[in-house]
Amino acid sequence: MISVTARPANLTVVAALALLGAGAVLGAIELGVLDSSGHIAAGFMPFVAGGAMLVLALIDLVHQARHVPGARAVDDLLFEQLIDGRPDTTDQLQVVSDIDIFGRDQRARNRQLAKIIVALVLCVALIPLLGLLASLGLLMAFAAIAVEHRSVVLSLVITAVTLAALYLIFAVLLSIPLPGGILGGLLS
Amino acid sequence: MIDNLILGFQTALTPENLLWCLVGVVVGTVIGLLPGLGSTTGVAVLLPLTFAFEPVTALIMLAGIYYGAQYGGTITSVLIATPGEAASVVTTLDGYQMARKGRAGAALAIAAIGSFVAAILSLVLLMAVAPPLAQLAVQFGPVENLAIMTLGLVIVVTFQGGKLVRGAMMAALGLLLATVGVSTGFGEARFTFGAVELLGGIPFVEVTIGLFALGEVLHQIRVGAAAPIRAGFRDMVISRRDVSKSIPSILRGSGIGFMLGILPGAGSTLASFMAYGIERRVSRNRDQFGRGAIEGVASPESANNAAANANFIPTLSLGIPGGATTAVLLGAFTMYGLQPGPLLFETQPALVWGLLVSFFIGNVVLLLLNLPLAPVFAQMLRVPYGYLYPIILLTSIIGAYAVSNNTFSIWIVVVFGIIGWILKEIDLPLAPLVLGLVLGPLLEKALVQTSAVGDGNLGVVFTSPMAVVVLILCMLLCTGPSILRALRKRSQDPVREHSQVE
Repeated sequence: MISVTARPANLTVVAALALLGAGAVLGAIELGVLDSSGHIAAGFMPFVAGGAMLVLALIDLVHQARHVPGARAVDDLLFEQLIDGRPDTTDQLQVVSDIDIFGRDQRARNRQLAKIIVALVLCVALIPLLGLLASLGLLMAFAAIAVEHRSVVLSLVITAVTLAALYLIFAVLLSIPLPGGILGGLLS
Repeated sequence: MIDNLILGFQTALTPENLLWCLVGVVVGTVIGLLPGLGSTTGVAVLLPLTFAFEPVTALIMLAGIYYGAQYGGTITSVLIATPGEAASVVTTLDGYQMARKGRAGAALAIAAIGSFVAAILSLVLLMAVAPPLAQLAVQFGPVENLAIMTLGLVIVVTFQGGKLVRGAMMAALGLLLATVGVSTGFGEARFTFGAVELLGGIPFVEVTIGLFALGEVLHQIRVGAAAPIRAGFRDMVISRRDVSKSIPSILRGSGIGFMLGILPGAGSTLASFMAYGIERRVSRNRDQFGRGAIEGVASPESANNAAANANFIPTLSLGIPGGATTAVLLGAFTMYGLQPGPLLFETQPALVWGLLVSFFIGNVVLLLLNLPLAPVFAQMLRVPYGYLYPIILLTSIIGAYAVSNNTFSIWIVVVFGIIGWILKEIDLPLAPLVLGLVLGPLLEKALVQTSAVGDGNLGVVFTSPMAVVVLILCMLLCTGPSILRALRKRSQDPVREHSQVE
């Protein structure tokens, strides 16, 4: 299993969770944890959940600061336990190299990922303008052609077939009104 | 029991239910074998497609996807050492070694046979255990329900291996997210920040689609793809010796899987690891483990299927999900206006027994499909991921939109997709988060009712013997492993010190 447990990312996310927990506790106090008769009020559950998050995140941060490997996956841990005392077994497991079957290294894959995330956000932002299907079509064509460098013709054909299938299932069979956006309004 | 079974067969054997059961198991197999898709993703993404169905038909199809994915997950574990399902991770150890030695077919065949035997055994037990448990659970009040839900959360957290703190943190995050919106008990808006869309709470299906479907796609883009090993039709022939060697492993795996699957919060992943670990200790062939031992495939594959079925016991009879996928199925029940729990067996016998009987039918279909056709399913692995993931993205987005006919749902998917990817990259477990999100409203309801029963005193929990037993179990689960580790360390230290002196 590839595990990217970069310390700065780990610390940042866990610190953000601690802040979220602290915010929830403050919000819960404002809502009221217990009412005047001592019964549970609207803030009780967020207080408990937020407080637990804050405490646990702080414990995890302390663990990380002490270099305790608390960020390993259950798979990794159980693998270690299972193959304990069998050094030859790890050699037999598939060694996942940095280069994938398309010859891309980690940096290239990171660039792909960044492009997809940006395209995804843009696609959703464009829905009120272009409509749902047109925006999704652009996203799919962009992913296949510009990110994955697949054949343009085949990518466009697969995009068209996928959109047609989704339209048939959701708009025709399930009668779900898919948003047409400003463009759809102009065309109709 | 016989009457219920007849009712179940009458429901499951209608042409419509048979067809959608078949569709469910085939789609489940394909979903299970595709890296980056799992049963949770499959059920979440395809849930909106079932809105036009009768609830029983929809649930039969969705459950088919769930257990079909257990079969499919094995194919990728064996052929490309990349499990399609988390429950098939451990199969990689010996399954992939068998494939490298030209025995991919035998590995896939024994996995299919083991899965089938385990499924049938666990279904018989499920049918025997679930109804009496439901009858017992009818007598539970808020105090007992609170204790059992706490047990569910504790189990899912403690079974996160070395990630106890992180698992608990994710469960707390799930509980916190569940508090967003207008609370049913108090009628007050919480953490909505003025957004009207959040008044109804954070939508569960959209969150699941984001975390599992989109999050997995982003993760897969980052890690890249591996080349599959070919398996032919001729390879699927399995020798009698292999079968006889595997029978004890299959039976042991089935037993372990069932026992773990029955616990609320413990999933099939844990069952498969546990079964492998025990098999490696008790097998006569233990030297071959990790080098392509057929028992190393038979046992975990039987365990994960038995656990998948046993997961339905807490889900159906207590209304507490057994794992992440049953949590989504629980959400599906609610969307169809059904309340899983002890009363479901009384109020919806046709649905419950029809669903249970459909598991038998689905597993027979899966055996018939997987035994000869695993190489055909394996061809799916040759579809370039560059075409596959955009299709997953589109289906996820449009599926999320279909749940509430609202673009806000799509933003939820995107936001939680990115969150899911980040959490996966830094190894923060998603299952406790999902369970927290599902159990949050139920837990809060039980807390409010318990508070009312005790007139504000939550200590009333300790007046119920049943709740006390469950809470002691929770404490043992939390502290037991640490105590055992400390005791083991103490017993090993003198030996180590002695050897150092020498």
